[in-house]
Amino acid sequence: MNNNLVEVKHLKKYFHQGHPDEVHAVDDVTFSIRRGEVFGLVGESGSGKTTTGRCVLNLYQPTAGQILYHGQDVTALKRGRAFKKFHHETAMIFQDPYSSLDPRMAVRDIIAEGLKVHQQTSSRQELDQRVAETMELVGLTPDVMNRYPYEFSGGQRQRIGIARALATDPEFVVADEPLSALDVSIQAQIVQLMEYLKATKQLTYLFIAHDISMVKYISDRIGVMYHGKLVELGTAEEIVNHPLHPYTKSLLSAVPVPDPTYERVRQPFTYDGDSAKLQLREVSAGHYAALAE
Amino acid sequence: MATDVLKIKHLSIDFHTMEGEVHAIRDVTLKLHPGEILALVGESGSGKSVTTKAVMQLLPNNAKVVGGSVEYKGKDLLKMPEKELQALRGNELAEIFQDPMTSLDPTMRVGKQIMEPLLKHQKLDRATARQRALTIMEKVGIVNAKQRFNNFPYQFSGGMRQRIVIAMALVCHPKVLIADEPTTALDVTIQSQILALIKQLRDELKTAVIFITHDLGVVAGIADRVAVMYAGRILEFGTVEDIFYHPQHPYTVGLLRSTPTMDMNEGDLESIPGNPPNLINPPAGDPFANRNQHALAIDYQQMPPFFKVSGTHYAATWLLDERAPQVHLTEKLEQRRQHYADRLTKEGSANE
Repeated sequence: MNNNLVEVKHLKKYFHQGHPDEVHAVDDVTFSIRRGEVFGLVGESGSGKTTTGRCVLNLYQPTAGQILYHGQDVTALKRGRAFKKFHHETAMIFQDPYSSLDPRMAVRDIIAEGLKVHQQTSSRQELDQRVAETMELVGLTPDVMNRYPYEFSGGQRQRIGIARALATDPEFVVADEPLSALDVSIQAQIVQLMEYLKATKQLTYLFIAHDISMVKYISDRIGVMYHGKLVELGTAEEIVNHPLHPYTKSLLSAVPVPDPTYERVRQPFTYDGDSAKLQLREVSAGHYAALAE
Repeated sequence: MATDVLKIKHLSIDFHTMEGEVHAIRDVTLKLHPGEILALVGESGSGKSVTTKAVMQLLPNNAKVVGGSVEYKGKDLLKMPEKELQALRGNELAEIFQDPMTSLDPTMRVGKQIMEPLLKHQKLDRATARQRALTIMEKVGIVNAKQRFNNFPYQFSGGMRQRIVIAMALVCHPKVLIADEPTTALDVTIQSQILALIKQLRDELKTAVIFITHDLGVVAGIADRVAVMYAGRILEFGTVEDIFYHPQHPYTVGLLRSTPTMDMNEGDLESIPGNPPNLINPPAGDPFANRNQHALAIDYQQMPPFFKVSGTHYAATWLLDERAPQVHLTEKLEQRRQHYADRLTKEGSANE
């Protein structure tokens, strides 16, 4: 039995195709996400990590390539039962807890929307019950159910966003930079919440972020994207401790360290090489990099 | 010792809102030494930006200074007429904002934007101003400054735009530069370049910098001194070593422990439970008390004074009172310090 929940095969997404400003946002990316793992995707802005995440959830139609979920290609799904089932079993947590919640909807309605769409509850009481349970799960007290997003702090809003994603009991969640809009002390709270939910709900995550230290902390494996390509893939330990690709090395060298003595001698360096036509190859067991032989 | 460039004394500011008066900052006292980089650290809503907006006198209309003063060159900026302020702003006092996408005029060529303060404040003729603008553009690392001079902001990447904003702020060689989260919107690789640039320009121009951030990794790299703010108050200040190696306030310790590092293992990351207090009715005592597992009874009743830890290091926590119980909060941080010291020795010997 195949242990991969999600398989991304030769994914390409080009914007403005055929126009002079054609952008190859994602250019031939292949990786898979195992059941129950946290797969981290890192890279700088414009590297294609968000586009990859959106293609995986069928929010963008890929230019080419396949997304297999439970072995079934979801890119071909149009409206219908399989399409609905896919969106029922998957969910997304967005970056900005300020713009991703409708300011005119009460928290209850935000969290309940997915449940209504997927007709998961039969009565209003049951709906409220599910909303309350989900809120408790993410550390919100259900008595704030009738309030509106503006009444909450950034960290609490992100909890609402997470509750919305989890209300329908998904098995696969794409979290797109869920921390970058939050303060450091709140980031740690949200990461701990995501870890707790992973353990209690057997979730599989695609965790997208540019902060490699948080990604390292939460992920089992990490993929590094650069200019629309995956340049390195391996376990979180391997990527951080034995990076192979020069871009990964430069990314790691740029991360500030909370130690003044060390910071004084840290030498960041930049990589602006071409994302050449090199394909990922297995350099050591389970550790792939786009390097020449 | 040279005199301080800027003295903020007992500053308190309220905001008038629909729900009531928000006591945004309370009794903030800060001194900026010449040529230093002072990091102002805290979460959103802690009052970092309000403090510096008061220095620049750019507070929104619903803000009211309740008490205190901001002394610059022996004068109180809070009482200065707008005309005098305008002569200082952008000239001797400059600011870099967080978002380089919105702090430039999209319809104006960047060269012209950089020249603007020179023409306005220093009354230079256009040719000289242009020359000075080109020099500073080269200094902040814009290649082909001559060609780029006539470009519009949209023709630059985020990192390059932030360099232009920095060029604009520094073109008049200000005495004080306020950098309000200048790298938060940037990628880490670009961030490290911008931080190096700010340090290099400080060394060359001797500008004193107030650097606002919530990222302690950034603070460790850039700051000479650090002030930690929480719920409108300063809770601790000292040299960067004081704060990172001998933190006293439980909030400072909590912030340090919730900063992720690449060397953390599963379960190492700690968070500070709870949320900051509502500043409409700020707590009477230590504002961090309700999130502090070592809070004493007095923490809820009375704001602690600043206890002297060393000649450079002060902290407002009752734990430093001689009657307080001894608690050891920093074990994990000492391990972290040791870890980095070991790594330095290892890397040092590897390089030889």
